[in-house]
Amino acid sequence: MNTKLFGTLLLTLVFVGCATAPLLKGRADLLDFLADGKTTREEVALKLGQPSGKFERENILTYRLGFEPKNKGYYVVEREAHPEGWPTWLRAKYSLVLVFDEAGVLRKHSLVEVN
Amino acid sequence: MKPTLQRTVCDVVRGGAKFLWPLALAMALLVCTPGCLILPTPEFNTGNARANINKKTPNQFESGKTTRAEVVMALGEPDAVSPDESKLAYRSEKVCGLWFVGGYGSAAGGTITKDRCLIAEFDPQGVLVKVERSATLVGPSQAVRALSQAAPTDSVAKTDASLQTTVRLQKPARWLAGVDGYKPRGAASMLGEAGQLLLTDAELQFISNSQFANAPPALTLAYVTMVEVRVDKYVFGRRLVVRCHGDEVHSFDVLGPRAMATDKQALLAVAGFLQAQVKH
Repeated sequence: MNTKLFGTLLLTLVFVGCATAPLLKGRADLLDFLADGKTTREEVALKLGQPSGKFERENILTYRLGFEPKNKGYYVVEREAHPEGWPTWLRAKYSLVLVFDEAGVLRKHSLVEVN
Repeated sequence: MKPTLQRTVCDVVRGGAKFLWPLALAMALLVCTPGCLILPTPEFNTGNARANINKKTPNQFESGKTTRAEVVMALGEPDAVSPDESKLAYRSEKVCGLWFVGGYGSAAGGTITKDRCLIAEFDPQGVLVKVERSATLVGPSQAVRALSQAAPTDSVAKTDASLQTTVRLQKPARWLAGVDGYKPRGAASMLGEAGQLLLTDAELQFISNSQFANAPPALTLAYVTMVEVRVDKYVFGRRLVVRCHGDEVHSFDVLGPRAMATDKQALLAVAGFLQAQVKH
């Protein structure tokens, strides 16, 4: 009886050691803070970091986003390029486009499925 | 990316199980008969490039009305931009066929891809002038020329609008920051950051492939700060080393026109130009 109990405990300990929860990337609420007419460029920089693209004197910012289907989470992906210069979208599924007014307040935004 | 049979299989599987029949047929034929085989397939995205561009995309926009912001809002971040932002490029890459070479128990294969590039051109006010979709079977050079993000590598005396200066020499290169040629341990196997090396009248600039052409260069070194320019050797390898005041050092692998391998002639041209500038 004791041997069986000991064996069960040992097996449990072994398998508990292996049973690590998978690390899920991303957060489902990553983009919830975006509100047209309210969110500022500084808030965006604090939450999402450096954009992958800046256009029209930084009035248009773009971010590349990966997507984790298991938790429906978004995460920011850096721009990657092939040696010949073209970027790859292998790790990014969405492109987040943010258009700001001259005061740096978000005017409109869109989440485009790219890949 | 080097075409391999493994990549072919991956592309076909990614494209859908219905495309497996050409592969099976090709393999069966190659086992029986030596030679080369090209099989056209229905087009499908490779997964490397964007998939939200098709032949109807240009119809979404109206010349003289649609703004740059509206194009970016609709299609997402562009894949390339001209230095003055007057052109945006969106690239798709689709497999349109498979090739196989083999026989006598061995085989190799790859995909034939068709690159398409949608180029939107804007006036100085940011309003769309025209939008075109080009296609090429030979890779990305067409759009690269159009946008001058990675301009023809042998261009001399080309004016770069964003930098407002004259580019005397431009070569594809890999930049190794803080590396002194092949001297540090393991330096020979270091790859460095891929991009374009630009030599102007007053400074060396490096524009990384991972940055947009409208962004400032990743590295700018004025010739007056350089104290030494030399070519370091390691077996068959040659690497450009630039040392500046304050013990700042940078190395560059200068590449050939296709940016696939190092190019000794291009390296010597860059080194000669720099050495002449440093002497002055």
